[in-house]
Amino acid sequence: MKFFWIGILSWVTWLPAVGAIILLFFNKTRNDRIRWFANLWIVVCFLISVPLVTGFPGRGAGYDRSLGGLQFIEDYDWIPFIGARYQLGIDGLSLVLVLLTTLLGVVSVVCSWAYIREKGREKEYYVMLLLLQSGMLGAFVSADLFLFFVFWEVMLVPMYFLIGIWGGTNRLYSAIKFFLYTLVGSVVMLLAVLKLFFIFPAVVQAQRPVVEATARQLATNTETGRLNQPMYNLIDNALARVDGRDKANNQLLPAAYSRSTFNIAALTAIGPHIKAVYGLSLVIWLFIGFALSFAIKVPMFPFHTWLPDAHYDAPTAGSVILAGVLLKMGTYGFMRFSLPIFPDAALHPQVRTVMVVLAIIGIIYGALVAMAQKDVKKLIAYSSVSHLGLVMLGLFALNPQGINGAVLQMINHGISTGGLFMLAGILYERRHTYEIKEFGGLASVMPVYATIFLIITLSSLGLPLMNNFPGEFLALGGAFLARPLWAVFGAIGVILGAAYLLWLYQRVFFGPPASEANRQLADLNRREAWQFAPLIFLIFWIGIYPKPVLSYIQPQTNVVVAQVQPDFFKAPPLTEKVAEEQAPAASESTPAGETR
Amino acid sequence: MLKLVWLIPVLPLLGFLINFLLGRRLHLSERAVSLIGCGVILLSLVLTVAAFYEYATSYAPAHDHQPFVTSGGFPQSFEFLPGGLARTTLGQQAGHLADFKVEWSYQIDQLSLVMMFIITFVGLCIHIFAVGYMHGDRGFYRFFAYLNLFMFMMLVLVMASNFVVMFVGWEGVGLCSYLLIGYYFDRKEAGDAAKKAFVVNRIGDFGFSLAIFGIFAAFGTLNFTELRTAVTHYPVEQLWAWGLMSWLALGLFVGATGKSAQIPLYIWLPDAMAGPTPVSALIHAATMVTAGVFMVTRTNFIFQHSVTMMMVVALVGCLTAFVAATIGITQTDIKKVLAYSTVSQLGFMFLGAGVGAFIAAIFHVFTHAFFKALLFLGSGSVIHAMHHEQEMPRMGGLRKYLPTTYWTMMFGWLAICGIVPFAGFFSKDEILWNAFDTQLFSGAKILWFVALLTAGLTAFYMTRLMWLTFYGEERFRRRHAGGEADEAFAAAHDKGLQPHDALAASAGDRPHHQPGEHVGAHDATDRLDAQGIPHLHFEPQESPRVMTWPLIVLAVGSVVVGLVGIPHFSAFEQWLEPVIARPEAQHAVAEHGSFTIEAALMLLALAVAVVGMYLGREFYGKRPELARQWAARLKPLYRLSFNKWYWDWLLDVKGVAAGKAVNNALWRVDAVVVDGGVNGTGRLTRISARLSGWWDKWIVDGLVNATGWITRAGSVVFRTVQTGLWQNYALLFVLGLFLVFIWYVYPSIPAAIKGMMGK
Repeated sequence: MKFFWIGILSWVTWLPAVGAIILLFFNKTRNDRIRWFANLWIVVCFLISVPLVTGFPGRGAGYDRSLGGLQFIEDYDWIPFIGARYQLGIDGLSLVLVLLTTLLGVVSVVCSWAYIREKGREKEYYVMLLLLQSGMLGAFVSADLFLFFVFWEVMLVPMYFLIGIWGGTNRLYSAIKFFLYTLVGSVVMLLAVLKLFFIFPAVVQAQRPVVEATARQLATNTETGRLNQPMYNLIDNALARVDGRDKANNQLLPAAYSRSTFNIAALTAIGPHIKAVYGLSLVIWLFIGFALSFAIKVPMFPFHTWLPDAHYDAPTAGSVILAGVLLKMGTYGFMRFSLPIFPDAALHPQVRTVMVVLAIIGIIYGALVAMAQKDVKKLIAYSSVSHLGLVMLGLFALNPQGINGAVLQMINHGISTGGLFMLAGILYERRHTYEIKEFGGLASVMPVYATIFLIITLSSLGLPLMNNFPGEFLALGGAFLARPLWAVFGAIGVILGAAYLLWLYQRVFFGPPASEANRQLADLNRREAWQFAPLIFLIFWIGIYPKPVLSYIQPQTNVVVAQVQPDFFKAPPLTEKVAEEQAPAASESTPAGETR
Repeated sequence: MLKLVWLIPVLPLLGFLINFLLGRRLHLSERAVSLIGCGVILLSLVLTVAAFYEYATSYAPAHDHQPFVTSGGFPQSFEFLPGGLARTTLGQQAGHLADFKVEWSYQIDQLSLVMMFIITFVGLCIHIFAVGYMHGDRGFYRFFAYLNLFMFMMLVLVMASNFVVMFVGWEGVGLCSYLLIGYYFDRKEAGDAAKKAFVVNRIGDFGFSLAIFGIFAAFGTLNFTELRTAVTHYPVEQLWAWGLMSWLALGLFVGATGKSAQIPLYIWLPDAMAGPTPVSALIHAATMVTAGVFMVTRTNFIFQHSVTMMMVVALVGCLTAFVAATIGITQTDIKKVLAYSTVSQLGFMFLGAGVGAFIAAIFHVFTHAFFKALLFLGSGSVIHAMHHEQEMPRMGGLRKYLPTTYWTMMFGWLAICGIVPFAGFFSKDEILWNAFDTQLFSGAKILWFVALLTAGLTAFYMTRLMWLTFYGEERFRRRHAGGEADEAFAAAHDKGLQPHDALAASAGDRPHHQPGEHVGAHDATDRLDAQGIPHLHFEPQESPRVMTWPLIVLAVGSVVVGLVGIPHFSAFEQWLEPVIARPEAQHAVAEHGSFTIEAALMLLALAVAVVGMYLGREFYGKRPELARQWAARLKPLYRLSFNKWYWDWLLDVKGVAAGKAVNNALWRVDAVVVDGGVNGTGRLTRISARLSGWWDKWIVDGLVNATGWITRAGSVVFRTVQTGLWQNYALLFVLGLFLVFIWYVYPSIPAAIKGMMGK
């Protein structure tokens, strides 16, 4: 799908950055114009991402779920000497995250309206927000690891400034901590990326037939059996380059050009075969290299302490983006790289146990520490640690339920926790404090606010018919299928989730209004109320009818499961066995002899 | 008609949406709100009765009494949770591929129809009662919206065709319970009670959800009908054997103890009385709290596969019935007494289920819904007449003033005490008889004895409630100071005996009551006096007709509903029989004892109830001093009962404090150790940076500087030579040439010198 000769993914990725550049030419003193422009532009950025699902009349259809795999592929030379290419493409996983990002982009820009008017430096603020948006979208749409890495690093910078300039009291400390911590992870990942890059040709040459088979499997939808030809070509081109052939242009590759590739799909195709060539220990080291970086970003226990600080000091929009999208980079990384490229490590009992134990500690510990918090924002931040622990638990269940649930939870956490941060921000704008004990009895003073807060709180604690329930249920169910004890611990987190969130709600909203300042609080104005509309709509939609979202996630989930456990789907189906067994039993006329 | 059953839960949902979204915006009048709120329930009731009729007369006979499950796309059914393919991991069929696909559909069968009827019928009565009870309340529309939402969730719960949809309803009713307990959100106790109810229920749901996962992991399906077939392949796990089925049943039962307020999770229910009285009647007596019994019956095919768990169910039920009854004897808040009585009756139901009499348990759910809703609404009527006074020691002699309430409550009282022919007699007797008669496990006769004792206690404390309220001196005329002094009285009264929750004890549901505000009937007249408003002297008045009519309907119900379950002629038992699985292993031992014993036990139960009632009247009607004497004589027991066996205190005070301590400790760990590590690394980096800086400045840069210095020093020579004058350069050039010349032209000079030296 192209508009003006430029592929839609490039539009989606670069449009926010273009907006940032345009903003630079605005007169610094015309704050109203700047604000209106940024708000409208971000809406346009969202709208341009909608055709990814719906298609655009005359330009092509939306993402084809029955085909699966990478779609909307764009592939151009970039730095041929190191094999880095400008390759974009999204599968169902990226798609839902791209849409989440563009939507939360709108929400975060809109919710900054009053805050930033008070704080000042509006032009720079919106420039940073738009740049951040481009960085995150780029990371989700990259089909090239080098490109991914560039975006991965780039998005740190605007976030650093957002926290450091427009943040709270301790903003410099938090900003630097955030930046350095994530950077440390990235460096380790870079080493692993380079090693992977350098071993690629050797693995392909040693194992070409099986690598090709894996490539074909990656490009095939396991449910419909359809082969995604463009995606397969992308991998095939990368494999051909190893022999010095430029298959796309049907010529020989110049000698100076690298024979290796950063193409993520091609690297995934060699994933299961690295062990045969280089041995298990290298696979595990590479896994650790990637996992460390992602674990910091998620953040998993014990790498989580940057998060409460960053959240506490970030402006509301920063918190929304941080919780909603940036943290998802970590889990996305696990889903995109760690699991499918290093299946032998992911399935390795010790590695898996370590990951799961850290995830479970995160769930319970995060919840308990959240309960001890004395201010709203830190409580929500620690609840993120707990929620993302559940996502990690679901991912490392390594079965479709767990992974589906985990990915769904990635989106849900973005919606619900993003919403909670916005709500906390509204309190801050009115009272300039996040201290829980400053509030109390707000339900009678701010009824609309209390209702919205209740809806989002309930969604966050996983009430059925709201978004978190299907995600949590599947993630925990997947964990149970992997090992019942994991689900037992995970489910404890769900109890605790109810406890700390309802306690928070009670302390802020129930009882008589605690002070004169609280009695004077104004309820939400129209803009403040409407900015929650998309979130609340999604909360109920995903909660009541999650099938559309799950159907986008499902193909990629199956690919990952098949990559990690190749014979998972080859088990005999249950229904046949039961039918066999029932044949003799049916004659005894059991009272409930149901046809299955 | 069966095609329309999806409307039965959806109608209340519609009512909720209209009242909740528009009630405030359009300023809907109380009349409009109540018309919508009650109207949708009436429609649901009509549809339920129609569905009942069609299922009983045409569908069931034609389909071998199998359930009717809705299908055929939205709105009858839709795909709710497609979770992808899975591999089963437990039981006989581990390692098979199954599809985790959850359909949202409704199952209509004998059991769900009974429950639907209870919910819509009793629900309608309570809705109508609430129109009068909530009159004038600020949040009138909100109240009815929540009630309707509750009806939706409860109907989903009982109409579910699989575990996930049931779980949706299960959690949903928990939410509504939370919202309605916390309805008067500006009161602290309401908030506390609401949160407690939700969190305790979550503990139960923890077990329930794990059981659901386990069921899928073993059978690859969550549909009740499919499961029932799949389970038949498993053997019955005999007493003390503990296998898959026992684990599954345990998880389910943990869920049931949470929702149905059984030991050890019963503590939330008495606190839940902070909600308005119609809520207590609907949610915390007639419907939601019986969901656990319903669930156990719905999954009886699993429970029956584990004799151990059957025994656990019976044991927990019996114990809960007894403990709650002992607590009920000494409570003074009229609603609290009823709450403990509910807990106790729920225990009876579980006792029935545990000894294999699932139908008797559901029968008791059925009758209990009528008489307990009646008693609660009656107490609501009393509270309404007393201007939101709930303490029985401040009532008395109300029979004159509230004749309708009095007479209807008398019916409820006779029913709960178990007097022929009132509803409670038949259902309770059925449970007692089954407990006596069961062959499932030995020692059940002890349970029967305890249950019989409990039945006596029930008669005793219910009689106490009736007599304290309706007979004797008109204590509300006694001048207690009112206002703060009254609160102080309550606090002192509580303090002597009840160290922990003085506030909660006198809280009840008083709308918009602030500490220090006048409470109680007498104070209302005082206020009128103070403001100079002319008024008749305070007289309790009978509630309006909108409140008394539901009482009358329920009172009639409390008499007649028992008749459908007369032993040996029980239509109820025949109707529900297809729902109950009969694993073949138990067929052999299912012979019943003799009719004479049954009849004798029936008379015994009746006698015990009459003794309980007699003693109650003796203590609280005829000779009030007896109560005080016995309380003093049995002081330790009295205090144990008054303080609710200290279980609340242990959990609420000690447990919560311990939890907070753990949380704070962990937080400190997080700040000091985990984050300390990070900051430590940062500090270490800074220190090493400073060291490197020093090294860089003095050593590395020092070397560079030294090089520079040496260079400069060396350059001194050259600088002196390089004068910039060509004459000097020419001189040097010539000098150089001269030296080169000597070097090349006279190579033998050294030798020549040597030769010269040598000579």
